[in-house]
Amino acid sequence: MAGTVWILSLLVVALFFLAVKRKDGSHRMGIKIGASMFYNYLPVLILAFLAAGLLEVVLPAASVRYWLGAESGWRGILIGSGAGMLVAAGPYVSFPIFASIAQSGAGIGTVVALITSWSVMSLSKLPFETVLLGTRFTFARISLVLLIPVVAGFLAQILFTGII
Amino acid sequence: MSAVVILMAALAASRGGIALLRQGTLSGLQMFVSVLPLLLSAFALSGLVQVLIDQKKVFRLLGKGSGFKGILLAAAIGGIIPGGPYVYYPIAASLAGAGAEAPAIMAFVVGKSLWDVSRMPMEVAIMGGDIAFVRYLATFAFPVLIGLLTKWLYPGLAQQLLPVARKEGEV
Repeated sequence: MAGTVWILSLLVVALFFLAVKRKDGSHRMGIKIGASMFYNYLPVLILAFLAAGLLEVVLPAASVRYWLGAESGWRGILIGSGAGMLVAAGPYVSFPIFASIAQSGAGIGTVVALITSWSVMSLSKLPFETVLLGTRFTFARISLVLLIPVVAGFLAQILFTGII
Repeated sequence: MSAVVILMAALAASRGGIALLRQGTLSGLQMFVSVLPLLLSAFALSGLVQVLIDQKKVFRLLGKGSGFKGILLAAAIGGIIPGGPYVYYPIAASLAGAGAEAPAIMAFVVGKSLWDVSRMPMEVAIMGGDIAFVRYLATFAFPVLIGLLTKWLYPGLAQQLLPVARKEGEV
């Protein structure tokens, strides 16, 4: 998280100087546009964060452990593909849970399906996506990524079971 | 969005009463406060990007007719950008505003989800190198594939993107 702030601030400073070098007030214009975007989105963003916070307590991330103790095989891949999207938390919370599931004996296909499902389907990004890109985009995206966790899980299972 | 929050609040209240409702609300507000610096830099970034970027160039690189190359480029940009959804969705919106087409935006979002370079060290450290390697390998093709599928299956999505985003933003 701290690293991310640094990288983003560095990017902002770099772009700001690029804009200053243009000598046409671009730097002021850019910050102004960013500020007005922030100001316009602030109410919905706060709502999105409230939704994300409530989602976290309604769907406690660790409960997937109960579903996926030591699942493997086709069944594990299917359950993992469904369970990952219910993990409504960032990587700092989610990866330790996934690691404990892997250590408790879940198959490689199950673990890959779980991580992939969380990556592409996690409910926690939906509030932000619908606010900034619109519900049509979200529906289109979900319809397209729905099968990725299952396919990725199968690929991992077929190629790597017994090797890893 | 207000309806979603009310639904979530009702769910939390029915699960664990006022205590859980308060916990969820606090956790959301806490999240907001703790990512505020990130949010501010994300919006500053997308404002500056909008000014600096040559709209014609964005349109040429990521717009209609940019095809496979545009999708690949957008997926790569998504993979490189650090931060959570409150960082990359504002950037996606500003790309859409500058004329990037829907397949490129889709590739950007899925590229962020699956290629995320900034998440890699954490994934390797916590999951272990072999699981992380298999995970990256098994999902490697998807950001580009999904971009292409968007082009084929949702050809009309591009025009709808920005107006929809603006409309929702006003609610």
